[in-house]
Amino acid sequence: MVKKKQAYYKNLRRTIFKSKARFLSIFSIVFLGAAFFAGLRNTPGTMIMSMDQYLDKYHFADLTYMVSLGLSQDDIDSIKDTKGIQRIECGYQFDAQMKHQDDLLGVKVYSSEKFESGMIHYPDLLEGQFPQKDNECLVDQELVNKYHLKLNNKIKLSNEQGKKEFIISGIVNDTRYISDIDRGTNSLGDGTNVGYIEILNKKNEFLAIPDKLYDLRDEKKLYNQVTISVEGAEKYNIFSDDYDDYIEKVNTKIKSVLSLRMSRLYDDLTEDAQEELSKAQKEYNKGYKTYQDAKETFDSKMLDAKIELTNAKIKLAEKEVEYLKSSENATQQIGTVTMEIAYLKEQMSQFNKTLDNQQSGPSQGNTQVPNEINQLAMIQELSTALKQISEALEISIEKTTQAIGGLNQLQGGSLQIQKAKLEIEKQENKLTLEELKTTKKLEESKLKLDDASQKISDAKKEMNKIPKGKVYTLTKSENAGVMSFLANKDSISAIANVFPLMFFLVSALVSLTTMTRMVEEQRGQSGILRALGYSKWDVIQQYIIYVILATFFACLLGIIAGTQFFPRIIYYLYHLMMFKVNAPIVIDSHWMVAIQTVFISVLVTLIVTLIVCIGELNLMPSVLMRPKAPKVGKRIILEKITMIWKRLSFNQKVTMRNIFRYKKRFFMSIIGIAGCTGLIITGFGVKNSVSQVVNLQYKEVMKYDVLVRLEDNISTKDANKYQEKLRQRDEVTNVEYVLEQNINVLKNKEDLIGNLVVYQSMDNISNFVSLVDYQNQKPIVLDDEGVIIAQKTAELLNVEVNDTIDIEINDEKYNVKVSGITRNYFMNYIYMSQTFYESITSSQLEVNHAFLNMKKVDSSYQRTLEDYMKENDFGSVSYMSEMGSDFNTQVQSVDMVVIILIICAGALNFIVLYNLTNINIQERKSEIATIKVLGFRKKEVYDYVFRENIFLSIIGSILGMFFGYVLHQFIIKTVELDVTMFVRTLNIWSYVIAVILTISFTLFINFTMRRVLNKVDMVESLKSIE
Amino acid sequence: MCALIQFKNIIKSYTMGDITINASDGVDFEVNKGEFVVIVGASGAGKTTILNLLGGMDIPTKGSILVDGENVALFDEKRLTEYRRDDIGFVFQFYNLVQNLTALENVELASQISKDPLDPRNILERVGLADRMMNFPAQLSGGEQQRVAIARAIAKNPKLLLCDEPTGALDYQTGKAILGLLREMCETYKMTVIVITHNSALAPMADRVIHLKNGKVSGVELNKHPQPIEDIEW
Repeated sequence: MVKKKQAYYKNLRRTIFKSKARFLSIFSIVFLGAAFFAGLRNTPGTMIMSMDQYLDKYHFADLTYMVSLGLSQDDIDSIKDTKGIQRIECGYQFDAQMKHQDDLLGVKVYSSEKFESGMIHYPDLLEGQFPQKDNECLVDQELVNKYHLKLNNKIKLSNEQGKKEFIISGIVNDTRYISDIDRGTNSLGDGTNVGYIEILNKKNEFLAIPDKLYDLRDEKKLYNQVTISVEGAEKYNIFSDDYDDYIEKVNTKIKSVLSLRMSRLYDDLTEDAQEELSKAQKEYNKGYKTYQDAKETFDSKMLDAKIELTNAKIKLAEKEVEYLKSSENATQQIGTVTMEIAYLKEQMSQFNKTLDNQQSGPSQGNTQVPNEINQLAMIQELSTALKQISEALEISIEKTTQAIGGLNQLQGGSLQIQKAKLEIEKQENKLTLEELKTTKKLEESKLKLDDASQKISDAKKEMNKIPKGKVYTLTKSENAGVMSFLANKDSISAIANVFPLMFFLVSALVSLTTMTRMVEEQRGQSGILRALGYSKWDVIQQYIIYVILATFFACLLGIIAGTQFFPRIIYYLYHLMMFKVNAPIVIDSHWMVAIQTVFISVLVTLIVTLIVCIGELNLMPSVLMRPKAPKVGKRIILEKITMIWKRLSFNQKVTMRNIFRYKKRFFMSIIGIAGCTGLIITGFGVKNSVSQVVNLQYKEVMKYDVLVRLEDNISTKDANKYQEKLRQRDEVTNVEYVLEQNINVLKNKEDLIGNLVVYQSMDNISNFVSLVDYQNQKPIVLDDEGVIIAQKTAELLNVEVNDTIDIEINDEKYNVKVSGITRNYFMNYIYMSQTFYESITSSQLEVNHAFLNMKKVDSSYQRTLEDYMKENDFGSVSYMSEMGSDFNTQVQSVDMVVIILIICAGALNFIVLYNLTNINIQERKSEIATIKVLGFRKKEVYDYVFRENIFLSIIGSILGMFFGYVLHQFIIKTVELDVTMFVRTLNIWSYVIAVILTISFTLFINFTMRRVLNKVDMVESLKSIE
Repeated sequence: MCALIQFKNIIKSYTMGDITINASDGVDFEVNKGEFVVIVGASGAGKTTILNLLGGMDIPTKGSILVDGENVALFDEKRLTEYRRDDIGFVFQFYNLVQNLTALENVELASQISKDPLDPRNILERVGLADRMMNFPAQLSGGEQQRVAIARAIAKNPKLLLCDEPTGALDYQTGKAILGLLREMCETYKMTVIVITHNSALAPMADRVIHLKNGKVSGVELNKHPQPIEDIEW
């Protein structure tokens, strides 16, 4: 088969050989596409591999524990046998200030037992030697460079514990600071660190541990940090999640042991106080119970007595009524009896009179004898009657006597009543006295109880003063350098995911035009082959082999070159700009990337070729053998617009015609150039978006100059006092005490960390923060019905005004209404009014921060204010003007992105324009030769051809602006973190610079393509028919 | 009177690998101003080399070419360009029109760079294309295209009009017409015209005929009375 077609293959070989330029054109574009793709895709891996190896080599601690109360030997012994620990080292880290000329510079000092290879955080010694003596030190390379220090210079370190002079014995890099920007914060001075210093433990402990800590813990030797390297951790890449998981297992164990020990230590330290407290508590409880009981008994007794008294009173009243009634009866009876007696007396006297008359009657009467008998009878009768009366009288008298006796008796009863009344009165008085007495007693015991409770709270306060040993775990996630490296890697990943695809698109387009041209050019040959009896497939196969040869090898070469070049250059740039440590590059190449690259590159070109071939070769051989008519000159639409056309110069007209004559090339150029402009716009746009954040957030959104952190939360009442005091100071124009704390903002998957700020007064809130609607920039008012949240927060939660969000303050969940969404760039701020805060938490607001506005932010004002604050224990002061320095890191990394984008853009522009110009020149060789023969000067020839490029660049740039806008939005959203919102608008300069750069690229390409134009040979080109 | 063109012992050699071929191997001839010259020779006799050298598209390995008193052989690239621009008009076998320009525009392309151009419309009328000025080359026949090419060459008002096989791609009648046109232009504009052809039958129409053979001039004839092209048959 092969033999049979020897001539066929020979032809193929020659085709490739003869069309070197075309072969190279496809080869180069595929090469570049593959290089970009494989290179950029392998860059993030390379970055983390290299840094991982560096960190492994110098034994970056997998775990670091810092304990506020220090670590005793016992503490260390308790954890050192934990499974998974490979090496454990004890030492110190502390803040200090370094005297440099007149300044005190904040530095972080680390101390180790001994400097030896294999130690954790083994310093990368650049110059000098490791300290041998206690007064020798290693100094951060950055610090050395910045302050022009030299070996053997002396530096004075001081802090609250003391001061000491050290001699610089060596200059180092340290794995804890792989980024040369971030040196962390310092608790002294202005709060920033300029570098780090490493010393030996021996004789330097005093700088790290305050004396009172030894007293407190009753220990002779204490450390404040322990570093641990975990066994087998080097197997994992430090930037991977697997590593985190692996370390976390060990961390959990150690941390729980340490925490337990610390809480035990606390218990021990507070034992006495605790006991006393519980005793007091018990006593109080007892006293309280007794008091309560006594009070209860007294109350019930009192009640009983009162009831009795009342009963007695009621009885008395009844008796009185009775007495009154009886007394009346008796009087009545006496009256009746008296009247009876009087009547009987009268009767008796009548009888006596009658009796007297009878005896003297004879004297008086006629009827003596009869009378005598009558008289006797009468006397008898009278006597009886008299006797009867007398008896009745006696009864009456008796009755009267009786009545009088009853009356007398009654008289006595009244007395009794009187007595009882007095008795009751007495009882009553007694009761009142008792009550008063008891109340007094109760009152007294109450006072005592209050005393006791005061004592208890005092004791509690006292106990709170005993510090709790806090355990801080530092893993790689707490290391700013490592994290910023990771963030940078992520932004490269984002770029690597988008841009190479554009190169593939362009390479497809270039292949398309090139192959189309090839197939068209060779149609005659194809026709001959077909006429000779070769099948259609044979002809197509020829092109397929051609394309595969070009693409496959280009692709392989591209993968190799790209993987070597791009990671190197990007890594080098990062090294140069941010990560100056000597971490040698370790190229990481992933076979998946290689397969993807081959697959996409070869396939894209192959498909394009097949489409072209099939379209062309469907024609009959006879048609194929005839030359294809040259592309007919055509009038373009522009010519119909005579107004414009008329004004164009002859040359411009020619340019216009040519541009619109080859539409494929037109679109390709436009796409390539637009891509170029877009990339540059994105680059500068991203830089602008990121770098503006600091400015906007700390100048326009947050308007206060000074942030004061209070030691403790204080009540608003106390705050007002301080506030008044501060306000009276000269330096200060405005003060506001607020509560600012981290809260959880609940989201579907992962909660957000929100910054709650609660303002007390709404009147001058605008002096401290600008709350404006994120859409229309109109001021919004913080009301008492809901919260104002940051724009980014709203976006992440997908809420709008009047929706509600769930927040968690001090572990309590609240559902609150969003009453406004404010412009904000950094952190998830949530603003609340005091009223609203108190109404939802139903607790009094306690503030912990103060915002200050200064009359003028200058150093003398700052110093006076600081001194005043320090004297009066106001809290730690930080200036907003110094805030956001963390952002520098991010801004720097963005510079990198910009550079990479511009390189990509330039490359893209170059590839596209180079290829197209090349094709353009090849296709129009005879035309160019003709004008050369006509006597066009060099410059005129260049213009004749390159004017098209310029024009295409202008159109491409304009389209690129739209593309750049879209891409910018995409990138910004990709690289944005949860806590930041970058400025999403593009500034005009990004556009201007991008367009200028694009045109410059084009001019540069035009310049380099001159050579090709010069090479067009008049004689050769004129010989053949087009 | 001095000759307009003097070729003095011109040698032009091409190196192909180890072999050096002398395309011109000591060519000597002269042409006077206003003459209609035909250079005749078989394929490979070195006609085109002569034309290229004369047209300022190439420089000889040895010898001097005096054109209007100046030695073109010593010109650098820049001067050659200027020479082509101002002094030479070219007519090619394959017309070499710019496809994307109309007939008029093709002529303008040349006239716009010249110091003392002739009016393009005028010339096009002269060559008989008054109606086709706005047509693109693809819309014209071969003869018409060659007429445009001639118009383009003449519009520059050159000292010398060089024609390389101007009828090579045309049929007999059209070829004749084109030659007639060239002769006419020569007379109208008092231009020196040099036509290169392998067809020795054209010799009688020229004022001067130069025969080339193996890179050398084998003979020069002067026709006191050149025949009009219509009378020549081949």
